[in-house]
Amino acid sequence: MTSSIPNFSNMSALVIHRHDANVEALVGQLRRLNISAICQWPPRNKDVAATDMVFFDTDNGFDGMFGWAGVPPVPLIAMVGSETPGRLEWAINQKPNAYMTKPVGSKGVFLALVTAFNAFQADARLHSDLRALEDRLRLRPMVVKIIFGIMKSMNIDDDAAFRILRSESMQRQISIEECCRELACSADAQQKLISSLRSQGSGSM
Amino acid sequence: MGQKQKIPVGVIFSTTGPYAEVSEAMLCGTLLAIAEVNASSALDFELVAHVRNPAGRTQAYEDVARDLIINHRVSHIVGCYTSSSRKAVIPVVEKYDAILWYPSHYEGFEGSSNVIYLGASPNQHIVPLAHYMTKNFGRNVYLCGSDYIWPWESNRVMREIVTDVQGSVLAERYVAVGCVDIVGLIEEIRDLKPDFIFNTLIGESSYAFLRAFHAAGLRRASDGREIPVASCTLSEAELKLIGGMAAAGHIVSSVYFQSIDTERNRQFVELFRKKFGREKVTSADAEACYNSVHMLALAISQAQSETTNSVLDAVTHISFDAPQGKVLIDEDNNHCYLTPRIGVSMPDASFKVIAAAPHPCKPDPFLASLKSSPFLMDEQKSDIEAGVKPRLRVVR
Repeated sequence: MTSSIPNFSNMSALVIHRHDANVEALVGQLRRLNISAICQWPPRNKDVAATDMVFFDTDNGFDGMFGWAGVPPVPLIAMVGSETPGRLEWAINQKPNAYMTKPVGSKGVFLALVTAFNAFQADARLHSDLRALEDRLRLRPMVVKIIFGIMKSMNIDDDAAFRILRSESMQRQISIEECCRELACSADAQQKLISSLRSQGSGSM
Repeated sequence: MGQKQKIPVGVIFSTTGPYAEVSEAMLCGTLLAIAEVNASSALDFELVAHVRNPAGRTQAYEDVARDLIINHRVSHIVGCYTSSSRKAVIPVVEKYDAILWYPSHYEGFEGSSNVIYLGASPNQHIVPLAHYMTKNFGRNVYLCGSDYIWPWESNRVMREIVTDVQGSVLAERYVAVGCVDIVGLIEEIRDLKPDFIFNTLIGESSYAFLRAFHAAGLRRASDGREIPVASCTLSEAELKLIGGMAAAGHIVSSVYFQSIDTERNRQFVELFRKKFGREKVTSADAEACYNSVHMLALAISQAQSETTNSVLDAVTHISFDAPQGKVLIDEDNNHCYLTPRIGVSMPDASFKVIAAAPHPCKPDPFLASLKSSPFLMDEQKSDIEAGVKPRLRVVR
């Protein structure tokens, strides 16, 4: 949604809010964007699989009102009335991707949607990057172990061993950490790598 | 002499529904002041009250306010008690540029240019109470309240102040509004032995709690005295409902008590009873309503106009000799300078004032200066009459 015109056509929204003038104004604005809305209070349908976004009331919301724990599975938009510290803290803890203030009027719905979807996607990318980095971090001891192995078998220094490993991972088109895991899983593969390097007559590239 | 100009005023109170009792007293305070304004020879206008009862339905407040403004040419509305009702009316007065005169204490964190806030801000009731209790009774508090925004936010402020004086919150418990199953609270208090209890339960829950608490006869570990129960909401009318000794000995923070011992207040109470019945009692909310109407009339008189802009300009340049003492509107935030007081309930369903601020205190709805300004009150002799002896402690 970074370069194109934001479009929410044919999406569906779940509005977890007591029916009032705010909900009417919100649903009216959503209709103009071709978003169908289902309103619900008290919260009961905890399955959001069929929903593209969730709006929720921060004034009357309570712990456990959503069917998920932690990061929301769809873009989440907080509808804030009271700006008291307690309510704001509760709202923030639900990890919404955007906030809109009540009373809901003609302004703010589209802004909240665009903000929420962008933030949700950015969050998703960030989480995915974070998971990849965490995986690589977890494999660090294995990298050290493989480097030591190569150093020992070929009698070379750590820089030379690392260069071998980098080159091998580039050939396999995987990360150094992933390459080490593959090598560690298979004594054969490790042996093959070392023999092929030996036959080339040099450990250095 | 020509006829006085008639100025319509909207009056919105839910005299039926879940908080009818409080609203009834608020309506009385409003109508008494309107009668006084209309009888005044010093004013060249009369206020015509358009009284509406939304019966506690939030949506109805919005509809009623819009109807008053559009169809009855009202620029001024006195009314609302709960925060949700106020929040329903604010968009309407903002849209049509009218003024809501809001006459109740609330949790703060709001500031609309189209609202004059006549009730206490959090720094004028909960903050003084928290300081008074921690200074006089100890630093370990038990928090119990009804499960909605006012108790949540009040407990937050109490927790912050108690933590600041190295005290601790032993537990924070909520029960649903209207729930009277409070045995669990009493048993937990018996177990935890707090120095004091901060009670933000409302209505029947609070009455049931105070009756059961009295029957349990729980004592403090430190001095064997009854554990004091502190509150910001308990009113004279409620003491009657609770009844007997269960209603006595509780500590309440309020800017107004019926028992304030001044000629001005005695006159107010007398007029109130004369107009509405000998058995009626005044309250902080009723006084705030009374003050609202008088401030409105003074502002119209000062501005020589009832238009929104003129009244908003004028209202920060006047003050009113209210039953609680002098009150005025802070031009920074449209809230009211009021005089915090601490009272203790007596067996005859009245409050005895045991501490009071020496002068009206600037409202701070966002608690912006919670940490920067220590709260000082003149504490009067009667801690012993409060039934609990202050405990001496070393201040670190």
